[in-house]
Amino acid sequence: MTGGRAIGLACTVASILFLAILVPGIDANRFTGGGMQFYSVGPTALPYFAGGLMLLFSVLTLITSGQERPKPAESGVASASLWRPVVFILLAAALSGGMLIAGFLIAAILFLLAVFWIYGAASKPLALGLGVAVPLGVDLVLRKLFYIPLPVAPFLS
Amino acid sequence: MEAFLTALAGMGEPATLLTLLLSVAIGLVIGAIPGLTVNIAVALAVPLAIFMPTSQALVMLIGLYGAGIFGGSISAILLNAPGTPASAATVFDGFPMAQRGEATKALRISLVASVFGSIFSILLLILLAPQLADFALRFGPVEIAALLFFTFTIIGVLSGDSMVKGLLSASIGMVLATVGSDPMLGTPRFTFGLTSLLDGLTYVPLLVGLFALAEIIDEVTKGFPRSKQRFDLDQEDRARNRISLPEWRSLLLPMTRASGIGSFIGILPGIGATIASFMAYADIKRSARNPEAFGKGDIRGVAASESSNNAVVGATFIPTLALGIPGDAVTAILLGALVIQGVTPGPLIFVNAPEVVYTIYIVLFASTVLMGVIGYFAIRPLALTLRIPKIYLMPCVALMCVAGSYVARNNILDLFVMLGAGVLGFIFNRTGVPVAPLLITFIITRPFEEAVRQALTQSEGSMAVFFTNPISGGLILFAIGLMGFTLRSERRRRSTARSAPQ
Repeated sequence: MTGGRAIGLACTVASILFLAILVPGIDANRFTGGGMQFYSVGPTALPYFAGGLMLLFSVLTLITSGQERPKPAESGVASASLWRPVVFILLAAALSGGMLIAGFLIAAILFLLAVFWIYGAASKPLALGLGVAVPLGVDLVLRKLFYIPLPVAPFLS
Repeated sequence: MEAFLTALAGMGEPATLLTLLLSVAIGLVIGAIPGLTVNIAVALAVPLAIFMPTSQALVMLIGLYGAGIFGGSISAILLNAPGTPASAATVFDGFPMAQRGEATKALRISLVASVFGSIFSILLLILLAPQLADFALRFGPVEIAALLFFTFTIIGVLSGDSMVKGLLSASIGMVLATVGSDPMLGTPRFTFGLTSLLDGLTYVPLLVGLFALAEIIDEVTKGFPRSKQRFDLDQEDRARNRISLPEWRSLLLPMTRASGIGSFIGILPGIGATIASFMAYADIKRSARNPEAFGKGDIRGVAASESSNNAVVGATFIPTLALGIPGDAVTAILLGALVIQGVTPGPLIFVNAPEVVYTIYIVLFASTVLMGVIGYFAIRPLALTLRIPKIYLMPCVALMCVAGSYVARNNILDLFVMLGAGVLGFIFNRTGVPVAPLLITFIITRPFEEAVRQALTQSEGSMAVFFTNPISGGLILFAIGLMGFTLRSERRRRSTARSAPQ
């Protein structure tokens, strides 16, 4: 299956679920304006319209993607080892979630050091230096220059 | 005049001038490094722009945009790998020039052509945008709704290789824009009881994920490939790299033609600088007396590609400012940043906030001049940035994505929106689905819904108003015709490809 077909299929399923389950759910939350009459369409009109367009173009992508030759970029997904992006996304998710528990500084240092270690940074001292200096720099610039505080670890505050 | 003076005074602030200098310098460096695109630079700057005065924010974003596009030519010429997709056509003649010891000459031509293209399109912006806005001021909800639907169609049709994939991306953008309270009655839609979703999906994490994180994940997948710089500018023969007067004269016409093409492409929503540079390159090659010289290091090839991609920069502001419709992904990001600043682009901006319009004009000029100066004197140090290993650079950029997405609202949910958008953008990039239509449609969907519902209220629920109004009817007919034409030519192209030998 080409990448185009796969995304066509995934979007077809997603748009059917959107139109069949999520959009009808809006009516349950709908505000009835005490007998007010609007000639206009309601809040579900655009979601139905957008979902309908998504379904239409997903099905068309599914059909037409089979007619083209796979591009090198598409075939590259299958050939490239998937562990690299998956691990990176998991680390980024851990950083996002861990910021609230360990604070930005600690979470960011751990994130960078983990990425440098897993993906094989050649120079260990440089990796260590950057792993500490960059989070410190980002935190300092945001805190001192823009007065934007990033999360701090509860045990440090 | 008062608005112009206000804009000029805002530009004279030391903090604004420093921001201009830094943004142009950073834009040149980011554009030069393959894998870091202008989109990444501008997307990462938006969270900071929220906390700046409007003029300073505009200086930062526009400075990054123009300089980043030129920066892409440095790696295109020296590495045979464009720093930004917009410089892909520069490779054809820039790299062969570098191979025969004329890299400095190619870089200088690229710089002058970039400045020429930028100035050309800025003048066009100043001439055309107020006229277009004046015309658009007569538009009511029916015309606005039709124009926005037309934009949805045209960006889907013209972005990327496949019309269907472009329209799929645009329709996903429309679906995502329906999250949050509806604009007329305030009914919550797809908020799942979360108050932080009542305002809809936040724009900053969405664009940081789609444009920055997606590119980083792509680099991770490739294992952070290291670029090898093959040419040392210090070793080159200086006399050979001087550009003679006849050579300058031979470039004038190609640069003007390419700037015209770039400006025209820039005005049309959703196409962008990459297609402009390829179109201009093909045009100059076709019109040349000796087309066989192209691809072997012809200076006109470098000039055409660079003039056209920089001419897009100013021209994309014409629909953005006059109609509130972003010309490309970067102006979509800028448009969102303006909205966050409390300025609504569209025809009324010329009436309500003329100082913002003048600030944009001045910043475009100032950043172009500064790009020329820094670019001329810092070509050698800029070439050194190509040696930075991505294994150290990309994780640090990812960290900035996380910090930038968080600071926009101090909401942890935004970080997961950014991660989701990053994965979506990565999948799109890998499957040939263009990302720009999603962002542009995401931005125009809310005004589209408002306009449609106002129009239907005025017409007492009759849809006929969209077909009987001459502007609206004309735009709808044109959109349908364009889709039919594109579908036919795509089918023809596919059957030709199928019948061609493997």
